[in-house]
Amino acid sequence: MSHMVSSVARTDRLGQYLLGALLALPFLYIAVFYAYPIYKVVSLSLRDFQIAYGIDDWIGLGNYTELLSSAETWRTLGRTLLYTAICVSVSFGLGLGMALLTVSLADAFSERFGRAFRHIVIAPMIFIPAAAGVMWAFAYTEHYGWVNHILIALGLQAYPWLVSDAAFFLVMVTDIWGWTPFIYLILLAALQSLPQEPIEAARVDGANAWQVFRYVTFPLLKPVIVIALTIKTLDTYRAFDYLWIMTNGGPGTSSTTLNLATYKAAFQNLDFGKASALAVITMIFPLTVMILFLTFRRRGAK
Amino acid sequence: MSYKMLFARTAAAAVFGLSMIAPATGWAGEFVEGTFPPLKAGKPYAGVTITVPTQKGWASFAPAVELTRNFEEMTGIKVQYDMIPGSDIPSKQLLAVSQNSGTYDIVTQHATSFGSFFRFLTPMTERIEGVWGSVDKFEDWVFPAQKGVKNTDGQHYFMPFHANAQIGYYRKDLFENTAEQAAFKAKYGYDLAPPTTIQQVRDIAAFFTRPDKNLYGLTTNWGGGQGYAAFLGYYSDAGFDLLGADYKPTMKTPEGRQAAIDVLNFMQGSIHKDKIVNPDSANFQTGQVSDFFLSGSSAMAYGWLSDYWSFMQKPENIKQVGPVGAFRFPSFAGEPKGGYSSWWMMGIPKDSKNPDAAWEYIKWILNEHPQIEMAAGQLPPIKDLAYRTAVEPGGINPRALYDAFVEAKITTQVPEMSQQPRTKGVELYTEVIANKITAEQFVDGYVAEIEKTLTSAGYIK
Repeated sequence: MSHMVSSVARTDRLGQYLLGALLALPFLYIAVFYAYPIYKVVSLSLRDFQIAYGIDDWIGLGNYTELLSSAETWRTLGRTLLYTAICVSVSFGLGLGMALLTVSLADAFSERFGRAFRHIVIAPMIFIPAAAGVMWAFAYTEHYGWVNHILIALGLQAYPWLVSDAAFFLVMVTDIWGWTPFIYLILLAALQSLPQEPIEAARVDGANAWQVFRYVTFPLLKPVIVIALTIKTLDTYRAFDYLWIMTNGGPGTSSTTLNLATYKAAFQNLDFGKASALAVITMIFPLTVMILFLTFRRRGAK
Repeated sequence: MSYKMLFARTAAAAVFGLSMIAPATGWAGEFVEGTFPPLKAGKPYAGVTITVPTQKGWASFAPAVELTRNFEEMTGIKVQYDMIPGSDIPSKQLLAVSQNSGTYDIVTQHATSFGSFFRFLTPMTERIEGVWGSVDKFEDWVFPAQKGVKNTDGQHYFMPFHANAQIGYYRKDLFENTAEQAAFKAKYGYDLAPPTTIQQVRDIAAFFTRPDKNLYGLTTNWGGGQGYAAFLGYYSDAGFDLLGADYKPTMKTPEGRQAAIDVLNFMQGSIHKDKIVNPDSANFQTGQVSDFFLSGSSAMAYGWLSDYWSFMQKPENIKQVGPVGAFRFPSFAGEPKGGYSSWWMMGIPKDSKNPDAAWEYIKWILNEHPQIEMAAGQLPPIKDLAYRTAVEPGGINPRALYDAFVEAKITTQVPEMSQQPRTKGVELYTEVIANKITAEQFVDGYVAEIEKTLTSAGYIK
């Protein structure tokens, strides 16, 4: 009997250890893949760390002081926020509009018609960003690009778009083209899974299409919209591929965002201290968005 | 003569003969026959794998990659290439060697970025003396550009394997057309021929610019980093090093400032004011210049088109343009003083797991066979070999390339110049070429960045 009891106790203890180990795994994961890299970046940002010359000196907030007192840093931050705001809002507007149109087309004509429209809209998703960047950069060339060919056909002059002030906004067009399908798919899935009863009830009560959307569909979509906007905002904020491939951040620094500035500091100037400080500054905005998102969700839950 | 005497004399003659032949045949089996720099015979490093980084999609180096199997057969050493995108070449290798990762057995760098690597490499002096007898003899064997990439301790840490210079190219069908020649002479008062002054470049480019026929006078690689390098090339060819003896930027002197402004005004004005260069040139890299030129859309081209020289000699590739000629691009100071040289090199990092096998590879890449094969898209860094490929009859390179390279210079005089000043220089340059700022604004911004960086690094007191 006592042998049996001790055996059970041993099994219990083993189970507890196992449970403890399992619970420790997420902490270990967070420690290795989140906490340590963040600690490393923050600690590097407080040093003058230049690999090529063996310089590794503690300079406290020196990198931050230098960066934050530079007008270029603030311009870069402003550019990053502008890029994010325009790309997110236009992608969202287009994605939502096309999702509503798909549902309407399926209702008005047939499911097959709605499906065909959906395939067309999501086509840009099959391009990897690097290839899409090259494709669009090519489209804006003076000699080969279809954009200029259209202008010439209309009797206008060809223009070197990507070496002009327009370059930054043209990268935004590519970003919007590439990302709208993502927003569209999320919102379409949400629209198609909405309960139909409240919508039909509103119609029976005499609400027109706009009123149905404004007072029934939109509130029901809100939680999904918040998630879609959060993902898209964070992703656009850290955009790199289209910008780097199409303009290298130029002409000058006119399309350099915080992410590109960090890359240039680290891999062109080999100044990892300053690059880390820029990375920390870059992190502040996503953290703010995440906090706002969580606050919004908590309020929504209440 | 007795039989014994005859035998003794024959034996003596044989010993003497062998002693004369031995060096050429590989010191009686010590080296692989017919190789110079000589590879060790007997495959002492057989089974070793070395990792060699190189630039992804690099036409000039492709023949070497093809021929690597010969090296592997001769030495038993296996070569694994890491093809790195051009823009990541310095940073990826620097990160690897600075972390003592042992990732690479060789470091491959360009003359614009080599300085950052010195502290991670092993000096080559002993190895060079072992092959050439002395460092002086080695320096005499290659182009003088090699002297510009020594460390401050006077030692070589890199061995060259690729040389190149930017020159001009022209369509012979247009330049040799009698109607064009007559029309040109009537308009400008001198014969149509490859230009020898900048004014002639302007005249000829303006003459051939015919928008209605989809033809520009000149197409060039003035996009981003390559355009910045082209600017430095013109500036250097006008007789200016980037830094003076006191490490201060020469653009601070009235002459240097004026030369830089002249060059930039030419580049900016050719696209935006005179419109004699196709606007896409403000974004073009070499490959695009080659495509544009060979599509028949330009009368002249400028850039690193030697990479494509052998390609441009094949009739099937020049159907639209006919035969292509080459000329040394004129200088902004009248007589060319030597432009910007492309000089690629290999060094052995301290953390290499197989430094001796790496040295065998470096010696092999300097051998005649791989160098001649690669010469279809570059100039060998070895003087005699380069002369044979470009100057002697039947050579595969244009004479103009040789002439331009002989005087070409290494422009990065201190390692720090390839970092902040280069990044800032490229940013400012792209603003000039996009017509957003003036040449004067470029010079002011660039000089300020150089002074800031070199003062903080302790060069400027």
